[in-house]
This record gives sequence, C-alpha cells and structure tokens, in this order.
Amino acid sequence: MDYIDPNTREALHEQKLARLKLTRKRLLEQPTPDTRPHKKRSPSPGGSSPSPSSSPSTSPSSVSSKRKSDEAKNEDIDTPQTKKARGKHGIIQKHWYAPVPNAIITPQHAFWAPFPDGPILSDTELAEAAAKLPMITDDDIAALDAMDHSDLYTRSSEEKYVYPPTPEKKDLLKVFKDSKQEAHNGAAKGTIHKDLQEAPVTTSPKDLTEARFTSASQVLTSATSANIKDLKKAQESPKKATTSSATQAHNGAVSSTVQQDLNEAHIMDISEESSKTPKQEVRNKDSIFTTTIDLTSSPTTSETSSAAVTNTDMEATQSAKALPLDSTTYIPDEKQTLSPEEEQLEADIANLAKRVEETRIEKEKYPRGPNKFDSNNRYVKARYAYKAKLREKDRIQKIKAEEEERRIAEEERIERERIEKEQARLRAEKEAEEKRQKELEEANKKKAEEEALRKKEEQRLAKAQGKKEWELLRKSGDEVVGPGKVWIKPEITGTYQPPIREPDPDDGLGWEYEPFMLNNGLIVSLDEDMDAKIDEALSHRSHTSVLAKTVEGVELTRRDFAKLLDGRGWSQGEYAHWLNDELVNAWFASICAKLNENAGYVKGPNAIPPFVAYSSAWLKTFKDKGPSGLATWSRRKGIKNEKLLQANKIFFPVNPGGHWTLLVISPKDRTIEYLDSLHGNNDPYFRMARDWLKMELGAKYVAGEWTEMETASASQRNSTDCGMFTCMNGLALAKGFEEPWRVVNQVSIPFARRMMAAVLLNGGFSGPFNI
Amino acid sequence: MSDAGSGSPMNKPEEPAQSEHLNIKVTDNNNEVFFKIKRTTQLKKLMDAFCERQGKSPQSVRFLFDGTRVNPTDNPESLDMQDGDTLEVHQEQIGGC
Repeated sequence: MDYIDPNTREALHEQKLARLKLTRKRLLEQPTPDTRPHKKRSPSPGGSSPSPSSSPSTSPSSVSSKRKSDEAKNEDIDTPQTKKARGKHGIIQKHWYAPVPNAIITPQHAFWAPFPDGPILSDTELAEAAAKLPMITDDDIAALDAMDHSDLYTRSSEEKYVYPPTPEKKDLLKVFKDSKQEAHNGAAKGTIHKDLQEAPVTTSPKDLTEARFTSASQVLTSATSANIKDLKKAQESPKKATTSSATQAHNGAVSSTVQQDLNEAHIMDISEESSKTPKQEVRNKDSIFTTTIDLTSSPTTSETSSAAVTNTDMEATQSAKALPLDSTTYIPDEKQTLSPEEEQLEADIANLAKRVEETRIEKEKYPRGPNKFDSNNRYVKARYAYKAKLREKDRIQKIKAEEEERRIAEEERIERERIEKEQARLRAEKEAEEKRQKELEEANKKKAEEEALRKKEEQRLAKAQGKKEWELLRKSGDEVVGPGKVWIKPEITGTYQPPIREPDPDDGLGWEYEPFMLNNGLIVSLDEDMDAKIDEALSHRSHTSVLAKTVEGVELTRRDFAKLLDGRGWSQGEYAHWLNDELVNAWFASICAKLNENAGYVKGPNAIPPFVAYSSAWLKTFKDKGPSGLATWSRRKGIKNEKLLQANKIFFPVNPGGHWTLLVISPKDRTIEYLDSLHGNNDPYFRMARDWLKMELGAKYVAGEWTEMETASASQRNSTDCGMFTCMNGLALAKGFEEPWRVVNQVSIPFARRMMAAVLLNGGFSGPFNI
Repeated sequence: MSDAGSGSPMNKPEEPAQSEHLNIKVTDNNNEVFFKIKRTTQLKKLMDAFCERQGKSPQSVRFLFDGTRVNPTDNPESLDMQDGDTLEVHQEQIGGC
C-alpha cells in the first residue's frame, strides 16, 4: 500500500481538487457570518499543513474573533473529513495527521502511536522497524509532498498556486521579529493604549500615530513580495481589495510569533470574502503604497469595525520609506489592539489547550497511533528521513566500497606490477648469469683446447728430442764400444726373463731403444761355468741355506739371492727383485775390497784405504743420533778425521725406506755426488754429507772446497731396479766412469743382476771378475 | 783338556790385562739390553739372546759395531770391543723404487 503508483496518485490529486472546490463552493454559499471560517483555516481534504508546527491560533482572524472562537469551531464546515474529525465535544480538531483516503494502517506502523513526540527508539530499533516497512521511493515522497502542497495552495482550478514562504521570506520574518521586539518596548512606554480594543474610536490620530508607527514598522517587515504583488493587484482591481497583506500585517503586529506558514489558504478565503465588503482604500502617495484597511471584514463584527486609517502622518511615511522593503503601510485598528503580553498569553493558552485537546482526540481516534500515510506526519517524515538516511548511508557505503575495491584493485595492480618487475629483474639476472657461465665455459673450453695443442706440440718436440738423444747415445756407444762393434739386442739367458715392454710411440724412448752394449767395460757376459754356478745356487730350495760369504764374512742365503734373481717365486708377499741391505752392502764391500787390493792397500794403523763403503745402516744412525753417531765408524774404516781427505771415494748406500740411492763422497776431488735412478731431491743428502764431513774434519772442513756434482744416473723404468742401479752406478764410479748412465741403463739391468749374482757367489771380484 | 789348556794360557794373559767381562749395550734405539759377556764369548749368543728377547728373527736384524757388521762368530776380542761399548741393531732394509 505504501507504494502509490502514478495513476493512483493522479486520481487522488484530482479527487482532492474536486473536494476542495466543493468546499469552497459551500463556503461561498453559506451567508452566515458566524460560520464564516475566516478565523480558522478551511480544512483541506488532505488536511495537511506544510508545517506541522503551525498552529491555528496564530491565524489573524483568530485574534480578531477570539471570543467566539469556540462557536466558530463548532460550526466548521462539514466535509467528509471534518465530520469524521468531529470529536466528543463537538469541536473540530485540526488533527495533525489527517488520513489519506484509502489508507490502510498496517500493524507494522502501529507501534509508532504511543510516541506523539517522536519515536523513543534507538537507532538500531528504528533500523529494524524501518526494515520491516515496505520500500518507498523518493519519487513517492516527492509525489506526496507535491500533491499536498498543490492541494493546500490551490485557490481554484484556474488560479495559480501560492506556495509556502520562500527562504527569503523566512529571513524577512526574522528581521521582523527583531523589530517587533523594539516596538514592544516602545509600547511599554505607554505610547499605545493598554487595551486597544477598549480604546475609544475617537482617539486622536496624533496619539495613534506613534502606535501606528510602531505597528506599521512591525507590519512592514512582514510584507513580502508576494503581498506586494497582491497589493498591486488590489490597486488595479479595488474590488478585490487585498486584505490579505493587511491581515497578514496585522497578524504580524499582534502575534508575538509570526509563523512560517501564513495560512495562505486562509488568506485566500478571506480575500475572497473581503472582496464582497470593500471598505478599504488604497492610496498611492509618493509612490509608496499606503493602504487604509478597514479590518471589519464583516459588517457584524462591530468590535473590529470602522477602523479608518489614514496615513497622513509623515513619520509613518518616513518610517515606511526607511524600511528595507517598499511596501504597504498598515495602520491597525486601535479598537482591536490588545496588549501584546495579553495577546501572547491568550494565544499561548489557546494553543496549548488546542494541542491538548487535539492530542486527546487524536489518541481516541487513532488508538493505535497516528496515520502513517500522511506524508506530513512527523513519524512518517522521520521514517522517510531515516529511510533516506539509510539510503544515503547505503549509497555512501556503496561508494566507499567501490572506492575501497578500486583502491584494492589498484594496490593489487601495483603489487602485481611490482612482482612482475621483480620477476623480470630476476629473469634478467638469471639470463645474465647463464650467459656469463656460458662464456666462462667457452673460455675454459678454448683454454683446454689450447692446452691440448700445446701438450701435443711438447710431445712432438720431446719425441724429436728423444730421437736426437737416441742418436747421441748410439754415437757415444760407438765411442765407448769402439768402432766396428755392433749393437746387440739383449738376449736374456738363464731363468730370469725381464719384462719386455712395447715401445711407446709417444715418449719415443721405450727402454728397448736405449743403447746398451754388453761387455762395455762394466757389465760383462757370463761364461758357461758362471751360468751353471748360478743355476746350481738357485736350485737350493731352503731359503736359509747359505750360498755364499761376503768379504765381510756375512753369509748370504738363498733368500738373499731370491731378491737378486727370482724373487717372486721364492717368498710370496715380498717385492719382486727388491734388493736388500745384505746384497747392497756385500756388493760395495766387494768393490772396495778389490779396488783397495788393486791399490795395494794393506790394513794397518796408518794405512788409508782409497775406497771405503759405509753400511747402509748409516742413515738410520745419522737420523737418530746426528752426524756424531757416525763418529766411531770412521775409525774402524781407517779414515778417521783428516785421514779421509786422502781417500778416493767413500760410498754411502742410502735407503730411507723402500728405495735405494747412492751418495758418494770423493775427498780427493772434493766432490759430493748423489745418484738416484728416480731423480729425487738431492739436497737433503748433500746436507748430510756436508754435516758428516764437518763432523769428521772439524776445522779442516772448508765448505767452499766441496762441490756437489750433478752426476746423472740412468732412469729406472720399473719399480724394482733401483737397488741394481745403485750398485751398478757405484761400480761405474768406482771404475772411473764419469757418466754412469752411459754404461748402466735399464736394458743392462738383467745382465747386471746375473753378473752381480755371479760376483757374490764368487766371493767378490776375483778370478774372472777382475776390475 | 789340551784344547782348554792351550786356549786358556793364550787368553788368560789378556784377560787380566783388560778385564774378564765386558758390559755390552745392545740397542735398536727403542730398547736397550745390557749384556755382561766374556771377551771370548761368541757374539752369536748375545745376538740370539737379544732376538729372542725382542721376539725377532735373526735373519731380519743386523748387528753393527761402529759401522762394522758383526758376525755370529765374532767375539768382543776380535772386534776390539771395550767395556761399555754399544751394539747397534738395525732392521733389514729393502728397496726397489
């Protein structure tokens, strides 16, 4: 029901207009002055006033006909609404909320009823209540408002609407209020009669002047442009004298509070009536409207009649001039003037009584509450306002939500962009890193290729060098062996078969290419007897059986010979062909013994042996006790102290563990030699030799005299023959070969082994092995 | 008897001159063993005693006295040993590379 569709609204409007017209017609037809409804505004079918706060007591006619207001009220116009509204006491109440036709009060609205001063509801409750209400659009509200207003301010179907006071009007009214206060002060001085209504008509105009002035000054402020329009209209057509402005002015003059709504409808009615009793003069003087109004609108109202007012007083004119608006000057009827306080009091009392009565009637009439379909109902208004507020709130919330959404979306977009940017940056970094890696790899590859090329070139050069060396060796072999001799390929006889390694084309120096000539002055071929002797020795099965005795008297067993010739078959777990200290020491002892013998050395207290061999145990003692550990050794050898300087060669077989090398000191030549078939570091042994010499010689040792020789040994090409190289290098040095590598090399070792075995079995260099 | 008699007059004149017994230290730089032996006692006894005491094979050790190899048949007299001399004991040394 709350929703009123436009057609219905139109129909309602038409209906209201029709009723209004009918009412007006009836009013006009009623000649009875008592029932003239000028003092009360004509009840409109809608029953709504533009402002609910307006009170009927403020209407101008209510002042003039105050004393019979009750009768007038009783005999108000009969309309369907007024009939309905007629209360218990027969008083027609202008109830606040006249029902809209066809309205239905729903139970949902009823709860507003007990609160005439407004719903004592919390916002939450109000919201809940409002939520229960059906939806009413803004259009509906606007339509209702427009409908009511048009209803109220319509004079007739032909006439124009008169609208409620505009904001400018309100301002004027405010100004008027202030000026009225001043006027009231003036009246208190006694310039105005106390009771103007009882004052004689014959009051001199002069006396009246001031009062007139004061009231005029009050009145003029309330004269609005709309009134002026009316006045002008009245000038043109005097028959339609505009009592409206005058009435209004008077109203303003006498009432303490000028209401916003000046009850135009009322005025309208009055003006129509007053047109029938034209007792007003409108004069124009100095282009200022000076209106003389006889407020005795009806002939029967004698009390307020014949108030002929002339504006002859210049003061009034001047005051009118001074006023902000050029308007009519109204001179009120002295008879009607009451003391403002009294009037105010009366009006207030009446107003209060009326309101009380209205409220009572209203409550009786609408026990469940006021009509909720009156758009002027303050509850309804509040509800609409609340709805509008809610809608506004919703709208704002919606806008805010949209803004928030937009903001979030924007933030998300920014965040997304940032992430994308970051990802792009990371990608770029990764790509750069990959590129760098690739470049690095390429560079490394290039480098490796270059390195490979370089190595190949080096190998090629080495090969060429190897060939060159081979030629050299060949030539030197020729020199050593002598011209006309033929290089022979080593033919291995006996049980020992040396491993034959294929020549390596890369190094170009396979050991089988090394030139070696048997019987080169060092290594001799064995005759059949010696071969037989070796074979016989090796035929012993017990490794403890003594096969030979060295020059030192040490017994050499089958086990020792196994290390020399056929190692692996004899004692499992031992290194094949690794010589032990017995063999090495026996060998050097044999060499020295033979050479000393050749040199004619006979052991004696003062004899000095030219060749001396230290036991290979010297190194351990040296390391344990230092050079002084060997101090007693030299005495036994016969080379104590400076005597050693006369020795030819002193052999120091070196075995630091797992490897045989040879340190040779030649005191006569003042040289120190170190021969290593693996070409290890010489320096530690040179230092040891010097320490030993220093210990032995003492002050006779002059470091600068001693030279460290870079005597080269041939390279061993396996991991077994270092002992043989040591022994053979020693023999070569002992025999005076300055370059042992020329006569002892890897090819010669198998022969050397057999020769060594033969020598040891022989008990030293004797017989066939003459050095 | 004749052997002993002939042997003793040869040795006896020397013994009083020097001393009948010798204190010999045998060391392999980790262990030191002191032996009191006669001058004419074959050093084989001493060597075997040392090897037995140290739990070593006689073939794997070499006894040196002042850098000279000591054979089992040697005695202090033949080696001209003095009281308090030291016999060094060395392990067998091998080498191939």
